[in-house]
Amino acid sequence: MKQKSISSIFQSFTTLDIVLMAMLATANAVVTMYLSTVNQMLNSAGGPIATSTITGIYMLYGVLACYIIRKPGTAIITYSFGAIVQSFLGVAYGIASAIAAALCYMVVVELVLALFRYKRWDFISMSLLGGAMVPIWFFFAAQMFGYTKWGTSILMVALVVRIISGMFLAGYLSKILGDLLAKSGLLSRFNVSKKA
Amino acid sequence: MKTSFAVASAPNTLLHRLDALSKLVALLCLSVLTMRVNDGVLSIVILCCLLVLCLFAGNEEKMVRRFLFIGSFALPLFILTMLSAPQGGERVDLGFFTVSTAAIEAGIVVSLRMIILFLSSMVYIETTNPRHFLVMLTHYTKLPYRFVFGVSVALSFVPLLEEEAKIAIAARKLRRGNAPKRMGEVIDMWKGSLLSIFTGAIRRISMTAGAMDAKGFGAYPTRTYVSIPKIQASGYFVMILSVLSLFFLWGIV
Repeated sequence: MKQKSISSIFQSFTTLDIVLMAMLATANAVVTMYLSTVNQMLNSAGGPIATSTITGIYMLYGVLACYIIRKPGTAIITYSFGAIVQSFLGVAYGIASAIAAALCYMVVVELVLALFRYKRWDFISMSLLGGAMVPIWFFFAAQMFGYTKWGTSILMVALVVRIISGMFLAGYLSKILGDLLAKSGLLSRFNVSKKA
Repeated sequence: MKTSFAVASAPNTLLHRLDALSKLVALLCLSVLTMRVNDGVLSIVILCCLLVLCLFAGNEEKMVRRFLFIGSFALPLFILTMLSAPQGGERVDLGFFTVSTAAIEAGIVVSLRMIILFLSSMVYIETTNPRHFLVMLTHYTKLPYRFVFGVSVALSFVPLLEEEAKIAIAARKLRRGNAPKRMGEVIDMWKGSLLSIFTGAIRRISMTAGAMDAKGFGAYPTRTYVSIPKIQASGYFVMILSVLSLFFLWGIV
């Protein structure tokens, strides 16, 4: 039964969809590796609040995949790909955190998109989606990495900065990138072009 | 960055011989335990055990480089946590400022936690062949092989994307005739390079997907593999030991 339900999720995806999700997961893994240095500089310059400004970039690939493919289950597959690829490339926060983050993101994205019935793809919906992805992972990350030791006021500011970053760099930017790519004709075989 | 996934298991140490899933269970148990620990001394003990384990990962030089890499992250994190953690208990004079012993311990715990999580993951990566991991994932967790194909493609794309990026950047430099100097020129070059890389990637997606479809990929519910790595008795032993150790230590730490 379990096998059947997992397989049924995959049935709706074409090989093209799967390869696109894989490519976005790869791009994210590469970007994440290079961002480690930026993250380190931000950490040294402005601590946890400064590093929170680029949080949205880490979530972008899954949201962009959902925006382009527009099928239920896209987030589950894309973030799973992302977690595995990041794990084997070496992520600065460890394999466990890559898996936990991916789980948090996929659950929230699928829930929010289900609330929108996979039909609302405007700027507001996408920004809301990006912002909604932050709190659950932030809660787990705080427990995992000991952010709780920073004190409540710093944590709250960091959370707000992360939500704003999620809204703009994950939600808003996905919409902009997706639309630009769709206009270029590169995505003519995906739902983003068919339903635009 | 040029990661060759196929040669990850070149040496033949004890850890290399252990299967990918058993090691993953052990790694996750260690990660959970590390996140549970809030004591500086215990964190140091776990780190020492892990450093011993690193000796079994082979390629000591690479492990040292990785240790220094994560150390450069952990040091600022230690200082920041020490400064921002709530001050309480006995105070220590560090010359420029005074901090509490509790804040110093908080800094040690948080920074060591980061080092342990990263190093344990590095040991896993160094001793595991991703292809074995993927085949085992399909075989033991009954995940559809289309999923595994996606991950394989993603892993194969990494060096390809890197290579294409290098070619695109070199071509743009040649066309310009000189290296970009002003910030605007640098941004322009990067924007152009990124666009060409992405366009190339989309083309590659279409070609790969087309080729796979032409081969009848996904037409059958199952597929065959050249070899399926099995979980040996040692693997089951490691998994059971890891889970039991976690439960036992959970109440103590």
